[in-house]
Amino acid sequence: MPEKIQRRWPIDMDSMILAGILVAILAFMGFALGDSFFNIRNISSMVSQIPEFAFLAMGMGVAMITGGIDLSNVAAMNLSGIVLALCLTSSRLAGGVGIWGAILIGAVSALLVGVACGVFNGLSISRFGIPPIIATLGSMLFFSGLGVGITNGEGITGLPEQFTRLINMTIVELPPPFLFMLAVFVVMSILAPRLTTGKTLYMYGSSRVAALFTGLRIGKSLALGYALSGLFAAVSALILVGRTNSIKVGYGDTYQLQAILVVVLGGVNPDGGKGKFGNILVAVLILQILQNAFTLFMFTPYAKKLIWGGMLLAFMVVRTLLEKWSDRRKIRARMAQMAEGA
Amino acid sequence: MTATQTGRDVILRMDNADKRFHGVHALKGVSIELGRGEVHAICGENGAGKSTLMKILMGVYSADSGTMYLNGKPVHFLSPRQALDAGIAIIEQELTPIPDMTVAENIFLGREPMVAGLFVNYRELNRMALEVLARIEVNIDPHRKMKTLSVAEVQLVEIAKALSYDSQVLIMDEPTSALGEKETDILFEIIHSLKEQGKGIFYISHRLKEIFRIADVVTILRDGEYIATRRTSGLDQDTLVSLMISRKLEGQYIKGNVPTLTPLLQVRDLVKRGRHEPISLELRRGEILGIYGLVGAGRSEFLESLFGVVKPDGGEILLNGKRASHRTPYDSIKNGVAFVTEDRKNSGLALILSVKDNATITSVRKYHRGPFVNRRRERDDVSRAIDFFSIKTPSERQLVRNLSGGNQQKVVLGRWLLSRPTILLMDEPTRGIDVGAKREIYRFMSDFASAGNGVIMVSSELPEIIGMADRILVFKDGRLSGEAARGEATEERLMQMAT
Repeated sequence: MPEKIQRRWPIDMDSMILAGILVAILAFMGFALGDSFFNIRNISSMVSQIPEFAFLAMGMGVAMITGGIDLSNVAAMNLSGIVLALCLTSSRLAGGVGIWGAILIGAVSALLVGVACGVFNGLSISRFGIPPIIATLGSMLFFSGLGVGITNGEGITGLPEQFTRLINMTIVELPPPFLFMLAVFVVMSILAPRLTTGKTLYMYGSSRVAALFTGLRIGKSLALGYALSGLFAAVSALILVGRTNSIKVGYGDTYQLQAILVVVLGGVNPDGGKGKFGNILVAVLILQILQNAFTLFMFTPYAKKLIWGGMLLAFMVVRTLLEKWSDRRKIRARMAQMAEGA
Repeated sequence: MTATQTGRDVILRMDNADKRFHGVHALKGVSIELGRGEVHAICGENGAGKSTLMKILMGVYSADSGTMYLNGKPVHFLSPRQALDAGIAIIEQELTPIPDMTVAENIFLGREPMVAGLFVNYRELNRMALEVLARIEVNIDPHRKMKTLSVAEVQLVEIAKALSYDSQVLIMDEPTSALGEKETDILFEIIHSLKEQGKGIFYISHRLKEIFRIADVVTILRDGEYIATRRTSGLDQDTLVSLMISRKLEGQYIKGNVPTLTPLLQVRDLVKRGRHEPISLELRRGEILGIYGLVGAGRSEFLESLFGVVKPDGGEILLNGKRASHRTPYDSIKNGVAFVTEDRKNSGLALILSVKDNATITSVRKYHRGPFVNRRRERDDVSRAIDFFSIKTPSERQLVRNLSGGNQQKVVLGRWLLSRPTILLMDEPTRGIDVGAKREIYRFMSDFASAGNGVIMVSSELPEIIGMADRILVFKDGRLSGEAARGEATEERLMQMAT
């Protein structure tokens, strides 16, 4: 019977390592900081900060599983946040459909803007063959440019409190965005590796040539994948706008590097084809706890950047070393096989 | 200088080279010697051990046993670098240029003349390249990037590169496969002048006519065994072919299908410029159609056009008499076509994904309605494929890269089984896999055709194509050069049509 359990609940190395790190960090926090870390206020502040970043990380995860990257999702988040804020602050709209109508219209428009940003990326990658890193770098500049154009680079504040209250309320001590985030992680973990589009993207990420010869609809799937990244960016915008009661181009810029960091930390192969959303969630939690610890230890922002950058590089080095070790075995086997074929 | 019993002046001698790979006995005690000023051809079918032998000489592999002597002294190379330093260079069959570097940089890669040990002296580099190219009377600007060169020009640059090492022994593995007649003539002139300089040349080619034109001596290998060494002057082509081909037992092929006369697939003048000429053919229900030809004859390219991997320039495809459009592999699969590619590790499988993911990838759509996935059906299908081909894997979750070559190939077949095709395109379906797995693949082909479907099989292995195909088409230089029905196809005849 254990074999059957193993099959249904496969435990992979990445998950175990991540869980180990999470427990170790929590233990360290308890030991080093005690109550100043484990108190309701600190934890609920962390819980409210996690979702907006987690959605960006999930979008990044989708892009990186395809072997690409999405450098534009923070810019897309800003752009949809601006659209949302404009709807919410428009007295004409509120006068016409009421404040709840305006919130609904604003939220839907923001989500549509996010999806449009993603489709734009997906098409420029699949249709025109632009490498993802360049395509999304370009669209990042383009989306922020649009945002600056709309707002003249100024912040939008003074949003109706109905909206901020909606985002910041709690259900059993937990804010709705956090619960929603957990639900989305569960759905993504279950569906991404099973649905056609998900399978196509994993396959495409692990071997483009094989995906081509397998007759997969690569263009459509890539567009959907990046659209999902855009949609998540928009969800992130809803939360960010509600939490800060304002929006401005440049909000959340530090999330961009962190999203890449957390996705790589979560075991997504930057070359594509491999990655689990559950692991990304654990990595997000780890990052958030560290973030919180840095604040409690009163590190300067520069020290934080130094540590994040160092972590990303160190993680890639360890990963490369591990892969080199297994590659060496693979190459030996492959050469033997080539000789058999020769 | 070593004088041997034949009184020849021998540069290189290999005694009793033996090599096994994972139980495959690739080379069984082969001995060979290369004389000064001699062009020594090595002949044999695919899998005869030619490349393995050459790779041992070059230090790519080390032999399990056997000794090698260079100018009478025993040598043992641990890497191609050491072989190069000792004066053995190779022109490989697979070209490996660096496309974004110039001709000169490619020729002297890693040996560039330096200024102050830091900077490349480009003027000197280009002068040296020009000199090497002039030596073989090739007029290519050394400043050009490799990617702007034609395949023939790339081949000539590779030849120049090998010559630039000034080695005493030169190994040429299918050097003319990418060359036209004019370039081949140039190459042969070069070989003549190398002979006069007293160098020794190992020459591997499938083109028998070339061997009689250029080689002094020919050694024949078959299934890793040494068969004979003959002077070409006292040999004719038929004798050479009969020495090369093995009389394998009919029993290893499983064939029960009987072709009908109903056309299943008709191809009319399908053409893709630069890859293959207009090709017309017909595949009937119940038929296994073989396509034979040398490497580079356009066989795989034709299958890729047929499957929609590349878009053909013209021609039409009829399925059951109706026009079908194969603009992408997606369309072809919908029309019931499946394609088992030649290079399963690259174009066939996603190695870092599981057996299950690779097997179900073309048919995932079947298993879900909206967000709901029928995992039981999916798992049943995977187990069906695993059972059907007796794929040896600990579980469906095993990563494909951990399976053996034969089992990987069966995963590819399993995938296509699940997509329910009526036409199966197979490119070198049994390359690099063991005999047991081969038999299972032959059985599948036969059963598949018997059920009223059709198979197009491309193969370079003569016994296999004769053993399995009902009709054999021969490709040469991108066009159809002949056809033979089952029963009238012999290895000699097919090889004559292909060369």
